[in-house]
Amino acid sequence: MILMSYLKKFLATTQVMVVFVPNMEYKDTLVQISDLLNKNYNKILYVTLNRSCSALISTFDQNKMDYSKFHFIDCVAKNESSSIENCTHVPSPNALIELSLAISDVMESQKPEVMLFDSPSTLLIYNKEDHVTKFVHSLISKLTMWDSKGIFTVPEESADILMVKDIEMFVDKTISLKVS
Amino acid sequence: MEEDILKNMENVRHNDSGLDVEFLPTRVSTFDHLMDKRGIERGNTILISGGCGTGKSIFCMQSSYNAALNGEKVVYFTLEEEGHKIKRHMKNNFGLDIAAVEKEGNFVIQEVDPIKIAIDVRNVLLNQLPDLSVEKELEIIGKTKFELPFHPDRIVLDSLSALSAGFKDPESYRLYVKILIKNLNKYESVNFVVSETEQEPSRYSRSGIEEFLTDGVIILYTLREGLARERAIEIVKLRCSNHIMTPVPYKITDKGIEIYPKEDIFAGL
Repeated sequence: MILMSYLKKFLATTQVMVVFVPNMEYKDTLVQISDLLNKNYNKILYVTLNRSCSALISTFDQNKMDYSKFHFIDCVAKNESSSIENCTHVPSPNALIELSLAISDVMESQKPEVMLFDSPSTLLIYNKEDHVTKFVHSLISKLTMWDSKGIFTVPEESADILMVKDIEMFVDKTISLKVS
Repeated sequence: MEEDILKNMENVRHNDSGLDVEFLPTRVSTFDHLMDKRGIERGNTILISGGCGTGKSIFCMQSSYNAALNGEKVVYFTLEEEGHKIKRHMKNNFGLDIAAVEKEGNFVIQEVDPIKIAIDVRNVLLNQLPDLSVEKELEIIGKTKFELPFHPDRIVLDSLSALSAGFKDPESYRLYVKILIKNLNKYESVNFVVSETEQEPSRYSRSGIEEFLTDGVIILYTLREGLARERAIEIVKLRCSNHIMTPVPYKITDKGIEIYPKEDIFAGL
């Protein structure tokens, strides 16, 4: 909770940030970040490349979290999310243009105040590094245009990847959610 | 008949409130926003090029259909697919009711046999008549095979690849295409000629000559990233207008081609 108040403080003054999350606590921390956003914003876009939309909803249910303010973009499940009302399905994490179009569509139609993107490092499994860097750079430029905040979560162990270092240059702030 | 058509066209141009050139919008999604003039000048022939399944025919048909709905006269020459199949696919897949605009009299699909053209051209080259130049004779073949039912605002020729397949000799194909494109430009219509290339083309037509002869080249790409395929469209050359110099993403949806000029391409071309 101390870490979340730390994150909340930075969110108030920062438009786009990279948040490094310890690998062992990654899943739980993402739930806490979601809860923080849920309590402080009216509309949130959650782009998920690591867990399917239905898995996220199930976790939110277990934590008694209302997820009605969320719109999900799911790049994980092939079909299951098509029946979930506030979820857009992107057929593959390879399809960067498709993902970009889906994000633009939600940002322009629903105008969320904040986007949670989990995670650029997962895109590297499916795409070339320079393509992911271009994608994130383009997305950050558009966040400024849409006047929305962006949080890119990255597992702590991916911090040394060149693409992540490149992204750090594009964002306003990099923070590490690690108890020292 | 063709002379009448050209005469009528001249009258139209002379009566046109002092403007010498007219630009016709392509009417394909937001494609016109990629060009400063928001359209293509009459009398220009544009090469629509791309790999298999990129949507070249959809682009041409969508443009032609929307033009016909807006009162323009369109002649669509098909050298590959039969007319009734084109109509069925366009209606079932994209909701373009070609038969309805045909009934209105603004749209005609004509099937042309590329093999017959190739044989006629070969005969001309083998048995040249003493009182006619080769060029004149080939022009006559073009007029006979691509006969126009009315004064067109648009002509589509789909495709040059089918035409080239009919020719055994690349030299005679090149000569014929040169005369054909010159002939098309006389109608002061906006003309699309379709050519199939490789998925990531190093040249934009089979023979390599079409891109020099035409006034513009539009390329449709399929980009492959891992298992996913994505699409991009690019204006490579356009004599009549300044244009965006980068490829732009597009999708083939149930409404036809949708273009996204504000989006970026991430993979290399």
